[in-house]
This record gives sequence, structure tokens and C-alpha cells, in this order.
Amino acid sequence: MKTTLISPTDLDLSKFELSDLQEDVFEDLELKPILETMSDKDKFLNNTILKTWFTPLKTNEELLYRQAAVKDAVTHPQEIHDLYQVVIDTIKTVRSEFWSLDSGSASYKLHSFSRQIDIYLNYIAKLKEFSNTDWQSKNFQEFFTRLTQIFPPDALNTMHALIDNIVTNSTYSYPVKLNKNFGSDISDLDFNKKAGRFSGMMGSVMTRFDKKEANFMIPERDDDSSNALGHYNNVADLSLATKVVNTKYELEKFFNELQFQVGFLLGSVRLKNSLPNINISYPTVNSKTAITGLKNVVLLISEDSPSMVVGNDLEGPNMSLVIISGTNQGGKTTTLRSIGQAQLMMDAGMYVFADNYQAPLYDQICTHFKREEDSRLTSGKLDNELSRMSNIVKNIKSKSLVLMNESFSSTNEHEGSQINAQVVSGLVNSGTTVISVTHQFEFSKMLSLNDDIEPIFLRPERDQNGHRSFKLLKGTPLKTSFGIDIYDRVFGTNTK
Amino acid sequence: MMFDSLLFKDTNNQPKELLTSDPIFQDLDLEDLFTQVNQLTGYNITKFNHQPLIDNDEIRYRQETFKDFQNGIIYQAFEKFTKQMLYSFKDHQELSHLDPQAYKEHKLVNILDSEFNAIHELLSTLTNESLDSKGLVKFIDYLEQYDNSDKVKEIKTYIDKIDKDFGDIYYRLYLNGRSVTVEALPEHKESMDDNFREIFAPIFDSLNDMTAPVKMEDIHAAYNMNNLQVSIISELAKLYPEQFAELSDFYQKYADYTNLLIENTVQELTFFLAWQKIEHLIQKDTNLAFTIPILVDSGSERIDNSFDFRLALKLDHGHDNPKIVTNQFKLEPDKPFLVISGPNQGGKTTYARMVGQNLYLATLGIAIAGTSAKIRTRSAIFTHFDRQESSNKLSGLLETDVERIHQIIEKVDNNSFIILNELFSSTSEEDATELGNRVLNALNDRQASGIYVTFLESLGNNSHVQPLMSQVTKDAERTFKVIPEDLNGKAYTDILLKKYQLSQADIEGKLSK
Repeated sequence: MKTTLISPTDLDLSKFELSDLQEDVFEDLELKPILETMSDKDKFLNNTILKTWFTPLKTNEELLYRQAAVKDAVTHPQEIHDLYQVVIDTIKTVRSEFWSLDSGSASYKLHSFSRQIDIYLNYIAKLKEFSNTDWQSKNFQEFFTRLTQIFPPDALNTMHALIDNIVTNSTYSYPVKLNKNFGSDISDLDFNKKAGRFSGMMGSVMTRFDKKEANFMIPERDDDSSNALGHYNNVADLSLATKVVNTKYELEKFFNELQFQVGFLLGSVRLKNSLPNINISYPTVNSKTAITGLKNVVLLISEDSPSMVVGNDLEGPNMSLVIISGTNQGGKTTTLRSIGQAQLMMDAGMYVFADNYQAPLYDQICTHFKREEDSRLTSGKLDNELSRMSNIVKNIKSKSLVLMNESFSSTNEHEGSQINAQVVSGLVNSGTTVISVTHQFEFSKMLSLNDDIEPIFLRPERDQNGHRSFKLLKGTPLKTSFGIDIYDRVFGTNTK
Repeated sequence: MMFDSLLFKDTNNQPKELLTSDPIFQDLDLEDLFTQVNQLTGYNITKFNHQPLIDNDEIRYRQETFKDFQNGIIYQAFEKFTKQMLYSFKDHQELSHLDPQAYKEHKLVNILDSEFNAIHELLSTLTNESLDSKGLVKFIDYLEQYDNSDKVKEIKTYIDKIDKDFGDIYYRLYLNGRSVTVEALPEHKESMDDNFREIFAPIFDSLNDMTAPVKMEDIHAAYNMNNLQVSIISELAKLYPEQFAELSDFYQKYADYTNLLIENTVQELTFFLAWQKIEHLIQKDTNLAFTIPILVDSGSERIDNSFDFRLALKLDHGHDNPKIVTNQFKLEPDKPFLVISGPNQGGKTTYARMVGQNLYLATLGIAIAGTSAKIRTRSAIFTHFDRQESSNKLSGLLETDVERIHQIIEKVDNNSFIILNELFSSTSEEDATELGNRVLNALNDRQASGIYVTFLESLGNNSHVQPLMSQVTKDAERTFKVIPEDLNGKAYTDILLKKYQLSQADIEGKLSK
């Protein structure tokens, strides 16, 4: 049974652990508040969302497929919530009624797993009720069409009846061949129609008198015979039990997959609903980057009046290198983060908080941010920075986006610039997109880039009085970082 | 001549079995080796391994047979045969304990059937193989006559009939609580399994997922016939009376049928199979080789590219890369003693053991460690190794050493080989040298030969000895190579000093600056 709501093929549900690099991205882009808004701090949803975020989509087709589901979900918030609730209830009920152990004999599993199948079948009926919703996407429409095909009106009854027959079967019989070692080669369990009151007499053409048979009783304390009988029954049950167990697993897998996929959609619904008055848009894939009105999600979530958050624009054909420099506290880092967040959400098929967002898909996003916490370890700091960068370079994929924030600033500016220039030139020339926030004035002059690469320079807008509006504008870097601005403001020494 | 044994040409004159307490088995690591051989092959050939042959003709009779087993096809044919036969013999021994009677009777049919099959299969596998050893040729001749005998043919015919009659027995079990009903000639019924598959198949995208194996625990049935099956068979005997009557008749006739010569020969086969298997195991993963030694009566002796068998087996089964150093053994009649010296842990004792193992294993008639070998058969090997556990009784140690060496010298003759390891280490160097020379001369007077491992350099000057040194590289690494060289204890010390720049010249040169 396939789910395919958010992906044309079902997903790998194995437990997800962030790698060291992903851990850095999570920290550097401040993803935690976004994650918690989406998951409502639910452990399963946390894992689901992180896994989806860090499994970027590869093609435009995949992106459109995912976006269609997200759009449909965002327009049916109540249904998504209720659907998720049914899935949760199913999983909880099965778990609370049965501690199904992976150990156990065929006969034990046959009965225990049959009863679990029965519960799943009950909830399948509840799922089918959602097929009446006016789903807009093929994703949801086809999901419910398939469910109806697999479980047409009579099917659930037939299935329930067979499960009942297995669970309450009292006439236990199977054919046997005497083997060469005088043991019993046991075949599969017979199908004995559930005996109605009169069917016993009509069922068989041969009556007991015509049959050649002999009967004996196993003595009360004959454990050896009892064990052997248990073994014979296990052999007779094995093939059926295997199918029953696999059927249970198939249904379990289906509900787990559904929990994952609907869970991600529920998260997307929640984030949208938490910012009802903010524009969202669905990104389009293009090699040329064109972004307008991009807002930092964390800022939106934490601001009392999110509508006051300023958006930023970014544009460039074949964008390979963006260098953001200029005034301290000019919103450089916030902007860098907003780009990272939006790109991560785009790559996962979500909407973004921007007026327009057009960009390529990236196989991977990496971050290399200055670490405040290791400011005390002066000696090992550069080593640490270099080692983190070497880890990025070691793991880099073909189409990656590397976001650098004040990299290699733990040494003097000249040395830092040289390292930075070497690293950035190397990355960019080998096809990686780099967005670098830096106050190293020398750095951009030391770059030795391929001919076809033209860096984009951004710096914060600054009005005539030196007040910044936290909006980045295109422009070549200026030598000073406008620290003096802050100094002046703080000390009230502005003379103009 | 009639066939009677693969191990002994003259079965009436078998050599005596040595006590396992004989020091050579521990000193030469042979007991350990034998235990490993048993464990790794699953055979028990301990008795044969403690029964060294003295007569060269007897040894050659075995060597011929061993050589045939070095042919992979022949080896495999006999290995399969031996395993099947041993299995049948074991079943046959346990037959009298079986119950119920019908089961016991039927088991006899199976046992005899599998023995005849094993013999028949061996003969047909070997049809196109040429055997060179007198022992195997005669054994195969014997088996062919046996296979074609009227008696065997008669039993085989009866077995075929019983198999056919019992091959048709089917029944259906009806279970209700403790009540079991056995129905003969059951009709076909639809299975629950088929029903389930049909109804639940639509859930699966691929039906393979529905039938994927699932781990199920099971109650393991007793090794022998379980009580339930006993009851079922008792009922079947009533439902199928003609067939079961036939079984009883077979058992009455052949319950005591057996062939002692074949049983005995199968035990003898395990000796060849075990050694060949072990040697093949070592050869497979290393560049080490085994060779069947040429036996000479006099003149120089040599073994090329030899090694410690026990050590090779140990490494072969560890995960470390087997790196066994090979060494040359050469003994000239005018210098019948090898005196070996060199640094500790440098391979002196291993070399001595290697030679001792080779001389002993050659008397078992098997291939020994090396690429080629020409040796004299020793009627006795004596060892005296410095024992760690007795080193705390310093006062009595020298006395024990001397007593022990005295006992040995009393027994030796020109066919003896003596291995002495760090003898007289509990006395002064001067003393020990004098004692050592006396022992060497006394052994030489009795025309014995042997190996003397020692740190006493001057023993290398004895006119009856060939000195050897275990080698080290310039960086003080041991190579475990032992080669003829005058004894020089300083060589190793010089190398060590140089490595740490602590030689007189180094220190003077440094301090003078």
C-alpha cells in the first residue's frame, strides 16, 4: 500500500540523526523556533520535519509534486488536523492493546497479529470517510481512489470474516506425509468453513463411518507429546502466520508512512496559521536567482508585530558568489539566515515568506558561522574554524550552497582574508554557491575567480544621518565597517 | 594378498603406543597440535598419532597412501564416504535404544541403505581415478567384491521394496484439545493459507512482500522420535498393516548384519583425512608447503623451507596475517649436532621444535613441513626443555637437569635424536660450558645426533657441532631466520647500542663536543 502524498515514492522512515554539518546548519540558521512552531514540540513531528528539511528535493517535478500537497493541506487545515488524529489513534490503539513481541511461535503470532489486523481494518474504514473532502491536488485525490480500490465496499467485511475464522478456529486439521525418517512432513492448515449449526452434517460427502481413521488421547502429563503437538501446529501455521505477520507489517508501515507524510503537512499548516497576515509564495526553480521581500522567519515568529519586519531583495544571473559587507548590526546576519531558511524550505517543497522567490534547487546547504562561544580559546580557534571548513569541503555535494558568516575572523584580518580568499575562490570555482558575510575589506581583492564568475556585493542601506534601515542594497564594499556609526550613536557623538 | 589395513603393512607387528606423558609431546608442541587436529577435523586420531612407526617399509606403505590423498578428488570421495559411514555406525550403535519397534525396524532399513549408498558412491566416483597406493587399491578391490556380493544385492532389493511401499503413506491429523485423530487416505482440502492470500493480496504492491520470511520461534522436537509421533506411528500400523508387517520381517533377518573390516578401515581413513585436511588448510592461505620425506639410511640430511607446524596452524586461524618464517635444516654426518644461539625470542626454540616435529611426524607416514626433505628415520626422540615452572627451585634444578640428561644418554643409540634447550642455565657459565661439552661428547660417543640451544658461545667450538645463529636486522628487529654462523653474542648488543646511540663511540663523540 502506497501513501505518496508528499513524494511520488514512499519515504525512508528510519530514524533520522543530524550529522555534524546539519547540526551546524540547525544552530546557525536558528531553526529551532521554526521547528517548534511546526511540530508543537512533538518528538515524532520534530524528527519528521528535520528529516524532510535535510532531504532536499532533486528535481522541479519533485518540487511541484510536494508543493501541490502543501497547497492542498494549507487550504484544508481542519481536515489535515483530523486526518492526522485518526492516524495517531490507530497507532495508539494497536500499541496499547497488543505488546506484539518480535519473538513468538507461528501459532502465537498467527493469533496475535490477526487481531491487530482487525484493528487496522476498523481504522481503514475511518480513513475512507475523508475521501469525500474536496481535495484539489492529484496527490490527495489519487490516495483516496487507491484506498477505495484496495478496499471496495465488501472487502472489509470479507477480511474481517476470515480473520474471525482464524482467531476462533476450533477444528484444527492438516494433511501430513510420513517421511523417510518416520517423522511427519506437515502441510498447511486446512480451511474449515466456520461451522454453522447444521453445516457439519452437510459439509462432507463422506461420513465418519466411511473414513479409515484411528483416534488417541494425549495423556495429561505427557509434556513431550504436548511439545511435539505445539511444534506440528507451528509448522502447519507457518506459511499462514508468515502472511498474517507481513500483512500486519504492511498495514503498520502504511499507517507509519501516513503519519510521517500527513505529519509534515500538518507542520506546514501550523506555520502558515501562526503568521496569518504574512505573504507566502511558492518558489519556482530557475538558474537565475530573483528574490523580493524575503523575511527572516524567526524574526516573524518572535516579533510582536510581524508585519513590521523588513524584507530584502536579491537578484543575480548565475549567482555564484554574494559578498555582504558593511555596517555592524546592519542586518547582515539576519539576511544571511533568512536566505538559508527560505532555501531550506524551498528545497523541502514548502512555501517561503517572500513576495517572490525564484532560485535553483540545492543538494545541500552548509553553514560556516563565526562561533561566539569559542572566543576564549584563542589558540585553537583558527584550528577549529579550519577543521570545520575542511569537514564541509570533505562532504560537499555537487550543487551546494555555503553560507559563511564572519569566517576566519579568529585571526588577524590579513591572514583571515588570505585564508578566506583561498577557500572561497576554491569553492566558487568548483561550482559551489557561496554567500559570505564579512568585514574583511581585503578579502574581496584577493579572490582569484574564474572569468565567468562575477561576485555580487551587498551592503546595508544607510540613510543620510547614518541610521540603517536593515535593508541590504547592492554596492561595492566600503573600507570601514561603520563601527564608528554605532560608536557615535551609542556615545551620542554624532556631529552631523 | 587379502586387504586388512591401511595403516599397517603387518598388522600383527604394530609398534607400541607412546604414553602421552612422554615429554616430547609437550616440548615439541605435538600434544597441542594433535588436539587442534582433532578439533578442526572432528575426527579422533589421538591413538594413531601416539604410535610412531620404526620400520621404513611400514612408513613408506603409509606415505604411498597419504600421497593418494593429496589428490583432491580422491580426498573428497573418501571424506564423503567416511563421514556417511561414521554417521551410520553411530546410528547402528544406538539402534537398540529406539522405540517404538516399528521405528527401530525402519531405522535399520535407512542405516543399511545409507551404508550401501556410501560404498556405491565411492566406487563410482573413483572409477576414473587411478590409485597408486597398494593399501587403497586393495581396499577398493575389496569393496567392489562386497558391493557385488549376493548378500548385499538381496538386502538392497528388499530395501527398495520397503521404500516404495512406505513412500505412499499420507494421513490427516484432526486436533481437538488433547484428542488426536489420524485419518488414512485423506482427501484434498483448500488451505487457510491459500484463502488468506487471495483475500489480502490487494493490500500488497508486490506479493513477495506478503511471503517475505518472518522469524518464528519454535519448540524443538526431541532428537529421537517424540511421543506424539510414536502414538501416530502406532495408529498408522493399524491403518497400514501390510507395510508394517514387511518391516518386521526385514528387521528379523538383518538386525545383526555388519562388516567389521569395513568399520575398522573407516576408522583408519580418518587418520589420513584429518592430516591431509589440516595440511591443506595451512597451504591454502599461505605460501607454506608440506612434503613427503625421502627416507635415507645414512649421509647428510636436509629439510628445505620448513616451519613450526603448530605455530602455522595457530596463525592460520587467527585473524592476523599469517607470517610464518621458514628455515633450512641441514645435518652432516661429521657434525651431528646443531648448536643454536642468538637473542631471546629470536626463534631458537621454534627452530628446535620444528626439527623435532618433523622427525616425529615423518614416522607417522604423513607429509611434513617443508618443500622437500631427505631424512633418516629416528627410532627415538628425546627432549629436555628448560621448564619455567621449576625455576623457583633453584637448588635442585641443576641436579634435576643432570639426572634427566643421564637417563637420556643411557637410552640413546645411533638412531636417536636429542633436543636440549637451555640446559644447565642454573649454574655458572664456566660450569655450564664444561657440562655442555661433556654431554655433547657423550652423545657423540653413542653416535646420536641432535640440537643444543644455548647462550654459551664456546659450545660452538666443539668439533662435533655445526653452530647456527638466529638473525636480527641492523635496527634490532628479529627476523626469526636461523642460519649457520659462528656464535657471537656481541653482534646483537652492538646493534641495540647503535639504535639508541649509546655505544662507546657515540657517547664519547657527543661528550667531547
